[in-house]
Amino acid sequence: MAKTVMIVDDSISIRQVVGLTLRGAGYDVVEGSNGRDALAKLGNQKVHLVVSDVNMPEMNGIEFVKAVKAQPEYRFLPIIMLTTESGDEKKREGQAAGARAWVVKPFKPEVLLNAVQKLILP
Amino acid sequence: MRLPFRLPPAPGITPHQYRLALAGMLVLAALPLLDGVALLDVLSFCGLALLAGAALWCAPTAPAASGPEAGIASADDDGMAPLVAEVAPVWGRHVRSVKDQSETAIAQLLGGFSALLQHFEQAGFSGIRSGQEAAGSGSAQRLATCEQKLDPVMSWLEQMVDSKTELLTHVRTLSEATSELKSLAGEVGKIAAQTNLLAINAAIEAARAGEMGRGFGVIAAEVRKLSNVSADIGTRITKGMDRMSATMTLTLASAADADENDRRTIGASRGVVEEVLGHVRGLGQDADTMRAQGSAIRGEVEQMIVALQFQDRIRQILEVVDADIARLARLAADASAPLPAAETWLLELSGKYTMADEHVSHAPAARRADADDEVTFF
Repeated sequence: MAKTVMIVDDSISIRQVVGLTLRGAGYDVVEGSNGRDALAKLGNQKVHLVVSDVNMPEMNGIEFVKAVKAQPEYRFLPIIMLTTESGDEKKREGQAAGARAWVVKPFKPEVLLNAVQKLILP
Repeated sequence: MRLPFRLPPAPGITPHQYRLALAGMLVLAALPLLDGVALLDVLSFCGLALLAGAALWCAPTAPAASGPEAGIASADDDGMAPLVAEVAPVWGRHVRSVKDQSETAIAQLLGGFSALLQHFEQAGFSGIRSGQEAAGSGSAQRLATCEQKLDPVMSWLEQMVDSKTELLTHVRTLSEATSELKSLAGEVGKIAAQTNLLAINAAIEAARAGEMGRGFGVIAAEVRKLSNVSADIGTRITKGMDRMSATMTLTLASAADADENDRRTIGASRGVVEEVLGHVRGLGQDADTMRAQGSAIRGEVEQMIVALQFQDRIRQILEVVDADIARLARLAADASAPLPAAETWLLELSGKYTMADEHVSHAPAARRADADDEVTFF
């Protein structure tokens, strides 16, 4: 049975590109347009990994990660940040919030897939 | 303090100093008039006041203090504010229009490319990153199976004809044996005829011998009977062999004709089968070529889709510019707001940047940032 990855990004084009990459590798994909939308959808189905942007309206990626990790059932859910931000300070912020990896845009599909395959829940 | 008229710009003097100098000139000019002195004195004072004003006008001033703490003038002093207040919102709308149109167009492009990739998937052209066996490879397998199935067909047909040829050989042998038997039956008839003649001679001699030859005569008569029976049997055998021989001849002829027909059919079939095999091999090669080209095209489409990530970057850049234009428009609309220094403004702008190339565009003299690490694991 295919594993499910959630993509959280306010950019439609990024959601399409990431979705194409993951579906091509055999994953099922669900999408959220920002942190709040993703939190609402997270409870509706089993998700094995989350790929989230940082800069989003309503709830940014760092706040989203903190909100997810605050829930006991998602304590071990791996989250990869996919963002144009590349500064060390921001990376430390993501790590402190509970993210497991940081991928800088524009990304190469094989780089993202490698990170997903390495971190996804069994 | 607002003045009822626009002041021309004074080189090297602040507006505050300008106002003080003008007020001083007016006071000096008015004093003689208040005390009623002579006209010449009045003119003298006016001249002094004007000269003082001119000296103040041209006096060099210390350079304005630099840094974020320096306030310069209100937004209204140079007349740019109304222009900016009117124009900046229009710029902002154009920027948002560019952002929205590019986002919509790229989303449509991506949707089209995604649909294209689905068609490729259904046609069996696997992507460059796919590790799954493409559905279309079944066509190649079927063609290979056709080739494998057709290859032994000709040999089977030739084996069948060869086995019939062997049967024909046996029929020929049987026919020859029948002829031999017929010949033997003829010999039996001859022997029976000779035996009959011998029995007749024996009867004649027995009759000549008289009473003493009576026993011999009986024997001769029995021998004659036997020879008649033998002749009869020989005749029946001969008739039977004739019928068998006729049947064998017909059978042989039929078998020979069938063999001839089979060989002609085999020859024609071989030609057809080899032609079909040739087409099958050609189809297999065409399928391989088509699959390779299709996979290559799919790979190119995937690369194009990945390259369209640029839309997200320009969207972020445009959002920052749009917000800053709005900030400028708000400032221009508020005439009482102090005009910040350019350095202050740009510092606040750079604080909103999220990408390295935004900082490079901000300060082109700066070194272009090294390539970011693609992925960092925590």
